Amino acid sequence: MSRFFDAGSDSDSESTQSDEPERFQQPKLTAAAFAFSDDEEETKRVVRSAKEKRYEELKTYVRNIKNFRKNRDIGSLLTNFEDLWKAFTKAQTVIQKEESGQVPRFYVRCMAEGEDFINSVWEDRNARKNLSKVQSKSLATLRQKLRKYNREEKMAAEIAKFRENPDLPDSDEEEKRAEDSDDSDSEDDGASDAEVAPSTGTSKEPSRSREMSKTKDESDSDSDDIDWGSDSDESDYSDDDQDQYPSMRDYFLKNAARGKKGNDRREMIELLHELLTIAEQHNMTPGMIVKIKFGLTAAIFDYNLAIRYAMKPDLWEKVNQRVEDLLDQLLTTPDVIVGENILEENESLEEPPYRVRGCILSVVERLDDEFVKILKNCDAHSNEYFESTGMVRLIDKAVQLLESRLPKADDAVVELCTTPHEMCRGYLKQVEHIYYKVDKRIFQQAEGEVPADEPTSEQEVDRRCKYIYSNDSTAVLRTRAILYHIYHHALHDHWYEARDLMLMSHLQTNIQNADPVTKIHYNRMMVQLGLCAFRNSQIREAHNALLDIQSSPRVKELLAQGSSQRRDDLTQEQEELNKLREMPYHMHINLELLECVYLVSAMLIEVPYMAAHEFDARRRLISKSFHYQLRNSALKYDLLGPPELMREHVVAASKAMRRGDWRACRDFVIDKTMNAKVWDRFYNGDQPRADKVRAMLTRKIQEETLRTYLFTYSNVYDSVSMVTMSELFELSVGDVHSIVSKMIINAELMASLDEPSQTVVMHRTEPSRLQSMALQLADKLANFVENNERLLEMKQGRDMYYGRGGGGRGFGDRPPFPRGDRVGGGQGGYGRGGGGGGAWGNRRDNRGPPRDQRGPRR
Amino acid sequence: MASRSRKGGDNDSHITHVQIDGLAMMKIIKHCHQDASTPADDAQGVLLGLIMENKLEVTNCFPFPRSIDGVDDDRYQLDMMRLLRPVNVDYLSVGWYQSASSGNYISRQLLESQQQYQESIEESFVIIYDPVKTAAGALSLKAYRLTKQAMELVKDKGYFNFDMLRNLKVGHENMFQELKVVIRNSHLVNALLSELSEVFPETLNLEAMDLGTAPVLQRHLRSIMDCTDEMSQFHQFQKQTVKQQLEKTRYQQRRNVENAARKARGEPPLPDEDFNFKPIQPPRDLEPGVIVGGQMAIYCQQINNFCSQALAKLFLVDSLHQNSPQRPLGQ
Repeated sequence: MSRFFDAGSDSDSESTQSDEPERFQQPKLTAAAFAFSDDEEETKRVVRSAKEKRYEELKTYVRNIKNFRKNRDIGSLLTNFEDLWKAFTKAQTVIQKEESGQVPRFYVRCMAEGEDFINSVWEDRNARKNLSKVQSKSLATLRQKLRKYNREEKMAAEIAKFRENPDLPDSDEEEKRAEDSDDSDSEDDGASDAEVAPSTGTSKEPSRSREMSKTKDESDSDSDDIDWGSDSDESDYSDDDQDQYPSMRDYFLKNAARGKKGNDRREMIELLHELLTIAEQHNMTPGMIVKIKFGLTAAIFDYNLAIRYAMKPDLWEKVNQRVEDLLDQLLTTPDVIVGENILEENESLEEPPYRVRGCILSVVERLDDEFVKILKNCDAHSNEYFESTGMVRLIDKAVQLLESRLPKADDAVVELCTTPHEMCRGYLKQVEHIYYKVDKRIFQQAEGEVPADEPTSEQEVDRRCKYIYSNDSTAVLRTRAILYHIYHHALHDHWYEARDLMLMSHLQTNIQNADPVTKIHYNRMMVQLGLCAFRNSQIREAHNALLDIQSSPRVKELLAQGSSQRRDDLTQEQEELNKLREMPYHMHINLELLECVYLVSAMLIEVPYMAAHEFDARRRLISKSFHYQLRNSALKYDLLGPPELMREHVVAASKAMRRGDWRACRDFVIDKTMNAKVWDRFYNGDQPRADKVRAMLTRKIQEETLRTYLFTYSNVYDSVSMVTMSELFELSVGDVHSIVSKMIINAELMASLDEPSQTVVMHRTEPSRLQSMALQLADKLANFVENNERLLEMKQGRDMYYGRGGGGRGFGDRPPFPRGDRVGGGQGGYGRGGGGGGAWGNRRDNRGPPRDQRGPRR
Repeated sequence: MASRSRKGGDNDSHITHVQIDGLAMMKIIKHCHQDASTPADDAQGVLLGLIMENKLEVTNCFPFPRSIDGVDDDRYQLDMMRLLRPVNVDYLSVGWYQSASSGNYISRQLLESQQQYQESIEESFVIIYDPVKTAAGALSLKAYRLTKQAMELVKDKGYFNFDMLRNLKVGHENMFQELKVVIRNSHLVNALLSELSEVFPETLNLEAMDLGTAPVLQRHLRSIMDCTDEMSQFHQFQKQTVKQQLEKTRYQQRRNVENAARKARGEPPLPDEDFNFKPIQPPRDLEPGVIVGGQMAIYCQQINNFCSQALAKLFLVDSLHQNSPQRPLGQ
């Protein structure tokens, strides 16, 4: 096989030339194989005349241009140039055939001179001013077009060549070309080889026109391949051997042309398929085959140009097979080394150890991306939407491969092994497919139903994340790994692990600087953490975790689960970006569950707080959206029916709690509709476990309602029996005792416990409604008076300073509210009242009732 | 009506008190209580009667209809008066009445409509009836008319600016003139009543003994607080105005200095044009200054009255409950 490569010194032109007669002998096969065939055949048939015709055409245009240049008729010049370019593209095929891609000199000269002329006109401002509007407009267009055209690689090169010695006559260029054609051609090819070799994927150098010519070329040889593949009889064998070399070359060329215009993508895939069959039939080296397979997957990926649209599922299926195939092969043949860091020159395809450039991880990642896109594209409730395990298997294989290539102690060439970075990427991909799934075994393990040594997804995630923590050098991968890890912990109710990991990572401090996708994962993690906290009866933590997400109206966007409403402030581009970032449906977090959990936690915190600070002027809102819901329900309807929506349930429950009716509260929060909508969704509908959450919730409701009750009604009690309370709230006396004690310790309740009689004795030092209002009023009036005095000072100060008497508008000389007889009582009284109020406020915690100061005497 | 003479004086009227017929009063009370159920706006009506030397006699009244589309209020009023005439009822309008719960009656509308009344009928007045207070046991009926200054103030449509307030020396305390209200029953009615009192045994009126002080006080406090808030807005405005004034003066001085300099150099002085200082919009026509102030004064007065009464009552109860366990009241 190596002889193909030995033959590499041959020039392309020779081989194609040698092919040519053969090709014409078999015209039948070209019929449907390529797009250009018709055109081509036609030009072949009338080859001489066509050349003349085309050249004639070109030359007339060139002559015209010269004339118009003299006349300075810019408008006609523009149309002529445009025609000329059109004619030239038409003539390409002919030029290709006749001059092997060399652009005729007269054409180049015309372009160069045209540009000079336009530039000179452009520079000459006076002349430009004299031009008519139409003229100057076409001048600008022409200048731009010409520039663009000439700047293209090919033309630029030609023009540069022309400018080196512009004086060569055009007339003899044809002869000259005839002489040159051979070696210039080979030169050309040599150059192209050199160019292509070092940078397969990235080279963007080859000009468009050359590329087109190559495509042409290839399609020709391509036809050979197809032809050869279809009727692979033994007689052709020797011929084929020769042919295979160009086809290999074509592959490289193709690869070089990847991602450029005018490259038929479908054809490319066909070609590579053929190549693969050839390679396999001929037992080529695994290195070669792997190389081709890489190319093939890349080509299929390229088939779909627009990133935002998903691949067709069948196409994806195809790539999936291909990649799996490739992975299998790589796994079975350990002597093939694949790596991104292997340069094109260092590839060794023919002898072991084979080295192939290419990154299997990138391929798998790309495949995964496409997969996600397909999932997002199809209807989440249809049958098509199922999560294929194929992807996971594939990723597992890729990781296996990477693991097998991990550097060993005795390995000399470390750079060819898997780098830790690659390993991290692989692991992260794996984790990405595990972390959001609930593994029931973990719960069962915690309950002892499953032996502790059974492997669960948690260990898998754990192991991989830890590898990433210790080996990752970029912050991005580690951050993601932490996020996934926390998510996974939270999903399985490992609240303390999740929280500790969260706190240790200090993610919240610098998440602002992260990229949007990481932020989305952060939000998802936060939400999941909140849910976990709720299930573990950490209501306050749950509330805090969910507060940020829930207080914005764009929950959906923050979690990348679709956009909540049309947003006019986003550009088309941003919207598409948002679309791209969206999560596939199976990874969504139930938003209603989220909101309900948030509102219920807010209720459990806020209602007792509201009851405790009913008259506090400065009380703050713990949860704005909860208050919004409360107010909303009050405003919206005149008559309140039984609640239907989840929010209405929570609002109704809050009202019941406010009254101290815990049973009603519980019945509102946990009833049939709420069960169906929310509570059954915990743990993926695992009833016994969801029941535990409900029990926890009931208990919390009892406790908080008791607190609310004490806050609200403590002023009507002299003492309360704890036994009665425990009966009222169905809590044990011990629980009531502990709750009341806690309230007393926190100075929330002015009371003391009387142990022998099991009662709570109220101290009645809480200000009554009237008293607290009077305090508020005193505060307000004090403020007011202070402001008034400041205002007066301002005016007087101004007056004194500027020495202008009575400059004000009439309030300077008279206090606005004279302390006359009628108001005097109120205002004079204020001073005493305010002072008393202040002293009284300080004494709040004293147990002695300073009742004498305020309120009516008995 | 227009022919009635008018004697000037400090109180710019010779009317000293209002005499209201039992019938008219009952009608007012009935109307106000009926309308109290709909808190949308206050019940209003026209008082009919005569002017007798220094007293105003109110002998009858009729309510304004709730504003219904298509019914012209003025037309209705005239029609009513015309129709009452044949049945021998006094048909001269002497004023109007309005219900107001716990003293929240001072408002711009009141001022404006009273001003209109007083414009056309010099002696007219407004009776304010408070159903809430009445329910607590004390009939609350008050008659007011605008003072001369207040009339001047309200008459001008651009009223409530500072200059006017200063020139007229008007504040909330001298906007209204309160008139004494005398309730009078005809002899026939008196006779009927005494007859009835024999038929029905006298019932004890215990409403006046209500000891629930807290709700009333709370309500008043809340209202005062609202007023205070409005006053603070007014403050805000004043502060801004003062600031702007300061800025203006500063600007002017700078301009003066500059002009002096220019004069010295022989250049023409800069024009003395406006310095594009927008006048700050006063909050709702300076209502806080006068109306809210008046309102607050009324609240305070009511609290005072109420407290003195309540205190007396509480002392009374205290002596009655000498032996009962200690327990604060009013909660």
